[in-house]
Amino acid sequence: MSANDHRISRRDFVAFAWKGALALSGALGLGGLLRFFSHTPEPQRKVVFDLGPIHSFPLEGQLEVREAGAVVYRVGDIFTAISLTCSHLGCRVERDGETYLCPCHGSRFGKKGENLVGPANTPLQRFTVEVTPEGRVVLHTA
Amino acid sequence: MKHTSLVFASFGLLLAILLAGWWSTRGPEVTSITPTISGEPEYCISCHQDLPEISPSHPVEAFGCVSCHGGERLALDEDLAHSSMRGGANPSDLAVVEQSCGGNDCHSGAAGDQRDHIQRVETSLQATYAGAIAAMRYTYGAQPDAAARTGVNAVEDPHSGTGILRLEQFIPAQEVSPQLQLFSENCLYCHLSAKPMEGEEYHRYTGCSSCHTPTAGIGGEQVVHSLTTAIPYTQCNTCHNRGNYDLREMAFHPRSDNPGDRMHDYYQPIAQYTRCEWTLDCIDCHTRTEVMGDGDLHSSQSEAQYVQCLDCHGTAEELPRTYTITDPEDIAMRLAFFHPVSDLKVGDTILVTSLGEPLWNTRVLPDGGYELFGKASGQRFTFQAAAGTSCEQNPTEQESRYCHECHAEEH
Repeated sequence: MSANDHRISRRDFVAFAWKGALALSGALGLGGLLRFFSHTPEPQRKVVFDLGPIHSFPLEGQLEVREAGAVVYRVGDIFTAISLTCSHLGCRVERDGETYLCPCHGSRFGKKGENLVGPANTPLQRFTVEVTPEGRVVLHTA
Repeated sequence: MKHTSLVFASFGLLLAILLAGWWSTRGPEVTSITPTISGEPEYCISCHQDLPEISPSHPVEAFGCVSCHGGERLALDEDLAHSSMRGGANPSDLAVVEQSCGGNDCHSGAAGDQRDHIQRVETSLQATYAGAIAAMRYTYGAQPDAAARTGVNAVEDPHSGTGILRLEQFIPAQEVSPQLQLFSENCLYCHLSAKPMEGEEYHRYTGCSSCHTPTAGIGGEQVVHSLTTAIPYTQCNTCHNRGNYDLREMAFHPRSDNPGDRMHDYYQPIAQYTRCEWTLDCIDCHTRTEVMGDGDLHSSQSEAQYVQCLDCHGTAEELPRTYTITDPEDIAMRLAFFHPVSDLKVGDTILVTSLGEPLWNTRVLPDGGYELFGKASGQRFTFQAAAGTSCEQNPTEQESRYCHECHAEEH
């Protein structure tokens, strides 16, 4: 057998090259398709917040849940929650003494979210607080 | 031949896929915000992360970008994202201000709700330039008197308190007098819709941003993304005190002095002023109604400008007008909230103008004196009323020009 027998012909090389290009194109295309179908949309905003066991809440107290944009009050067995999103244009209100003040345009709300000073003309939104059978306090902001 | 085509097609396909893959990796990493006001995600911050917050009253978390600027909120391609923007980079331009600043029932609405900012500005002299236009048209025989008939933009005022119900648009090409043509070419650089003359000293934006975006002393190349109510005199001076008009040449001659102190920087050297006039900022005296308009169309600055020395100092015989704030929603309290220079409280007694505009940056002191806080500087000034002093002012001559006879200082 001579040395020339191991050399690949030009025809075979070209055939190998274009078949390789096709195969690579197919692989890249398949990769692109998988990437397209694996796209995850914007994660849904969290609307349920487990705030822990009920015994961790003082009988008369409040808890600001920044992640939820809410403040939770407990009076005895009653839990109430109000949004910290100003009902005017959506800025985050801040605690100012016994009231909540919006730093954007000066709206002021009472402890229960009631309107005290405009330009907001609706109270802060109220959220639902649930105490599960397992004794956990769960805030629902939806 | 078929075999050759297959070879080229294969390599072409590979090249196309590689190009597509490279193209898809271009562009910014997506940064999404979901402003409270719209509830819809926006990708503008993906490219504009370096832009500062525009103002404490317009946080991006609440307002986003699109509610003011328009644009395609989910586009990452520059041209596509900007394709539907309002007013280019300035959504406060009067051509689009109603959709931008007036959107979401913000700065447009009923006068009774103090929501008629845009309506007042659009009829104000700074927007219509109706006084200057009327004076020129009257001078050169285009109209029989100096009452305003035309303005920079056509505008209506159906509830006018001045009797002027509408202004037609001033169209220089339809004017006969060549002087009016020259007037339109050389003298219309200082109204709210006009692009200013070239030069750092004139640099400002149009519309609401003419005043509320501080650009004085900043070169035109730098974008200013800021809104403020603390407007210093230097911003007013991008139009005012820049020089004089020569009516014979119908040309503008810029001031040529090189001011070395605030007094001379404030005013060009043609008159004398009292100390407060070159110590305070313009907005410390000139009220919202004077500057932004009272909702009526006017023929002259003299109709719109009404604040006098006596609004703060009273007269030799009477103390200045005051009132005591009893309502936490009083307009004075709201204005003081947006200009945190004084700790105005319900129960405070402040000065009030002859038209009932509260001078919320003032306060009556327990000793009977008065204090004023600079709206832009925050500086505190104390002053006295003229009553009980050695003021010899004629009771029938109470306009400010008479006060200048004694109190104006020459420098």
